[in-house]
Amino acid sequence: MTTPSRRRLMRDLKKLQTDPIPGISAAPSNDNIMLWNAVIFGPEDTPWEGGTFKLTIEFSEEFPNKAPLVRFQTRMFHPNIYNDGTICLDILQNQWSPIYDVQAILTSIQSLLCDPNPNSPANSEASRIYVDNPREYNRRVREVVEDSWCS
Amino acid sequence: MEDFSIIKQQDEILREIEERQPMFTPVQDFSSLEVEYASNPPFQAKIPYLQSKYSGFRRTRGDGNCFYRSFIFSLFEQLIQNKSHLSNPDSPYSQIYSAIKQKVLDSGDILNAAGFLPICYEDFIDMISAKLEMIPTTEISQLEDDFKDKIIADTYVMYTRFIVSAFLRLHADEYSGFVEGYPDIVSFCNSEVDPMNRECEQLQIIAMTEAFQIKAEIEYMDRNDRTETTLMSFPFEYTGPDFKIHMLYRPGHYDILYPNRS
Repeated sequence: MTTPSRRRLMRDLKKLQTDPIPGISAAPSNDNIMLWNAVIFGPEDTPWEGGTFKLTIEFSEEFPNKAPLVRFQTRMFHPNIYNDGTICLDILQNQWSPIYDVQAILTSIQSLLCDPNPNSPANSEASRIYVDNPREYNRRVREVVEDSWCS
Repeated sequence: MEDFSIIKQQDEILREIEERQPMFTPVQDFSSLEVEYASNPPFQAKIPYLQSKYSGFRRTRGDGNCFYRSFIFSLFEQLIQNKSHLSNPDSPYSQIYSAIKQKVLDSGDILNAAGFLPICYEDFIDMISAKLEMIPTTEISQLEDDFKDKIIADTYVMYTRFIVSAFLRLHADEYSGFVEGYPDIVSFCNSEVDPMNRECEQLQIIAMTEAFQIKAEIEYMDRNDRTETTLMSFPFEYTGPDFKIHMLYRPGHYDILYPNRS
């Protein structure tokens, strides 16, 4: 049976295939349309450049009325990303709305990478270093970028 | 951005409400309000007035979607109750029915103009259109069943949120002065209209009734010392068919009212 969530995910998939955005890719895992794998490239001209960051996106039957669960699988170092990969981003939590498609979610996460919000820390160490020592912060980000090549 | 622990708390409160309250109760008389306001004289004093005008009310779940859900439910309910008039072009029910079907068909262009993505709204329009087409053969019990299914009920609500949001975005010039605490209409909509469970303020009510061109009459029950509730009517100027949605407002919450049959 096609449920509203599955029908919507088929539309999202078709759009990603016919109208791709550079630096973002996503597709359902082999046998489960409710669980997607995604990759975000680090934005150019930022310390994140060159990184390929893997994520999983888990949709429930209540999608799109309920937000999907998005999580980095690559180890990250960022003020708004928890150590388990969970992301602190308004549109994934209290401002989620069905007006966002999968591309919009991933684009927002991509912009969050180089535009962190240190007032809402998910990783207090990253947040502190981001504010106090930008050179060290960039060095730690570059480490994560290099790690992302082998994970 | 809010802290995860606050978001978790909000989720828990919402889950408790969902477990405790149905989307809608059956239509009931006002005796339960008398019990609820037994120790609240200003509210208690207004119940006889409500009883004189209305035969009863239907409580709706207080999950922040109550206005949107009551509005769309009452629209469908009144059309279903009066389905024998839908083929009579002189009947206000038939006029509202044709107008709404056309508005829903046209809403794709409006949502697109407001900047929404077709893949995000098309399923909502398809579902509402299909439900509208089925009205002549639908029973109230089927409508009630739809609203017991969270996925279907939320789809009705989200469609009305799309319409309110698009109306405000497309009339930003007129309404941007009314969004206190937000830099512009778009950020207001992103925070206060587009997400589910966000309560409806007067601005959203104006947008909803203007966008659908459907009249809503709301009885406001509050703490003043009068024995009558205060009636407000939206949109402020309305010249359409003789059709109204009746609601009861108590601070922070809307329920559906059922007028006495004249």
